[in-house]
This record gives sequence, structure tokens and C-alpha cells, in this order.
Amino acid sequence: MKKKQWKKMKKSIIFLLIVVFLYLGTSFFYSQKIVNSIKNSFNLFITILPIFLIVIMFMALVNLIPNKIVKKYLGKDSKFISWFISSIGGMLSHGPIYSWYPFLENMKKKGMSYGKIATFLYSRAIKIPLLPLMISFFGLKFTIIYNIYLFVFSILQGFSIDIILEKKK
Amino acid sequence: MKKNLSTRFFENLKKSSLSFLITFPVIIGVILLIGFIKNFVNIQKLSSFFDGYLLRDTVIGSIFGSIFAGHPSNSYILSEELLENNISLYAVTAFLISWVTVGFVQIPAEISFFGKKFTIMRNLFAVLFSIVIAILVGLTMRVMS
Repeated sequence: MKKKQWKKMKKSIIFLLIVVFLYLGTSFFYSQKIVNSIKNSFNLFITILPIFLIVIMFMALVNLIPNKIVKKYLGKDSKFISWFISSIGGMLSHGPIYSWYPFLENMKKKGMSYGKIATFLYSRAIKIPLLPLMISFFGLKFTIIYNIYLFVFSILQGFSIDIILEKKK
Repeated sequence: MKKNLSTRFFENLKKSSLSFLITFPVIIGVILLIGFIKNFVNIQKLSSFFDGYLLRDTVIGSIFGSIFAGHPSNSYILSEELLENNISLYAVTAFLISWVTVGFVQIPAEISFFGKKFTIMRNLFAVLFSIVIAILVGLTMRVMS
């Protein structure tokens, strides 16, 4: 493991330890709630475990693509279509947002711009498999308007972030 | 000598697994935090925080959505409850959007992957946009009805 990776791992463990101490400290006062929290967290972990495996496979596959291609299609100077690629990628990605962080970090290293990452993350709000459920809760009109605005703003957010973070370089 | 595709894939798989392993503790930390919030924050009592002022309620809706995390279908159920309690569509829409676009709980993990600058900027934009979109959705619904 490289020095940079060790440093990252250390930070990662410190964060986990803070959360563990939060659990330990609270368990003196609310032991039952802590037991329930652990149970809920465990169930969540089991549910998203397959997604982690998919993301690892995905990362390995994407690493086969040369960096210059990623830069060309998802870099800061890529064409307008790249916003649609990022947005549709976000819409199609399943599972919790944090399970996709390692994949996107990898894509960043390969040349994807911060703006495209932001677009990917924002457009995850458009949940295609949940559209029928959303229609049943809020109606067709609301669902259509809501999702159109989300799509437009996912691109707007990415565009703004690219202007601020990438153009300076 | 150029390696063939399958060798490169398995090498990549090893590298990807290692980089995933490095960040695994932070992901476990976030999962534990989500479990904690689920049990210690009473989401059902949300309605009492809204006071009928449109813009203030929209901002409150956005903040609540940013704090809570979980499956989006849970936010639909809660939003329906809020609407039944006469909370405005603007506030409920902001709640729905920020539930899926902002994650206060995930901020430490996001920082460790993308850095402070990007994470803060992205989440601030997401909170702001949840309010803007909520107003736009509400106005569009009004115009169309």
C-alpha cells in the first residue's frame, strides 16, 4: 500500500472510530435504541452489499478504457452531450449515493470533471424504477414536472461547478 | 509485452478491491450513522416544525430532507403524511428533493473521496437548488391547474 493510501485509510478509520464512540457513549443511556440502530445498520449493509460488488466490477471494467477517452467524453472540455451521458449514468445507478463514491473517484483520476461528477450525483434523484410509485403518491403531472426540473438542474449544477472548480486550472 | 484484456481486467479488479477496502471504514461509519439517525430522530413529528410561511417552510423542508437519509420511497410516505397535515407543496417538494440530493450524514465520506471544496460546494448547490426547484414545481403546478 502506498503512503497516500495509508493516509486515506487512517482518516477513514478515524471517522469510523468517532461513530463507534458515539454509539458507545449513547449506549449508556439508550441501550435498546443502540441495539436497534446496529440492527438497522446491519440490514442496510446486507442490502447494499451486492451493489458494492457491482461497483468494484464496474471500476475494474472502466479502468480498461484509456484515460484520453474518458477525458474526451467526460472531461472539462468535453462536448455538450457529455452532460447527458453523466446525467443518464446517474439515473441508471442504483443503491445509495456513497456506494458510487469509489467509482466516481476513480473516474475523476481518469479525467472526469468535477461538474460531471456533480451532475451524475444530482441526477440520481431521478429514480426510474420508482416512477410508478411516485405517480401513485403524487400524481402524473407532479411526477413529470418534478423530474424534468431535476434533469435540467442536474446539468445546471454540474455546469456551475465546472465553471468554478475546473476553469481556474 | 502488452498484456491481454483478461489479465488487465483481473489486475484492475485487484486494484479496485484495494481502493474500495481503503475507504470501507468510512462507508461503514456512514451506514452506522444512518442507523443511528433512524432510531434517535423522530421523523413522524416533522409537521410541528412547519409554521405556514411559504418560504420558511420550503427552507425547513429542504433542511429536513438534507438531514435524513434512507430509501427514497420512505420520503414519499413521509411527504404524503406532510401533505395530509396541510404542509405546502413547496415545502414537501423541497423535502423530497433534498432527501435524495443532499446528504449531511454522507459529507465526511464525500470529503474523503472528493475533497472539502467540491463536497461543500456540491451540497450547498443541492440545498439551494432544492428550494429553487420546489418553488418552480409549485408555480408550474399552479399555472397548469
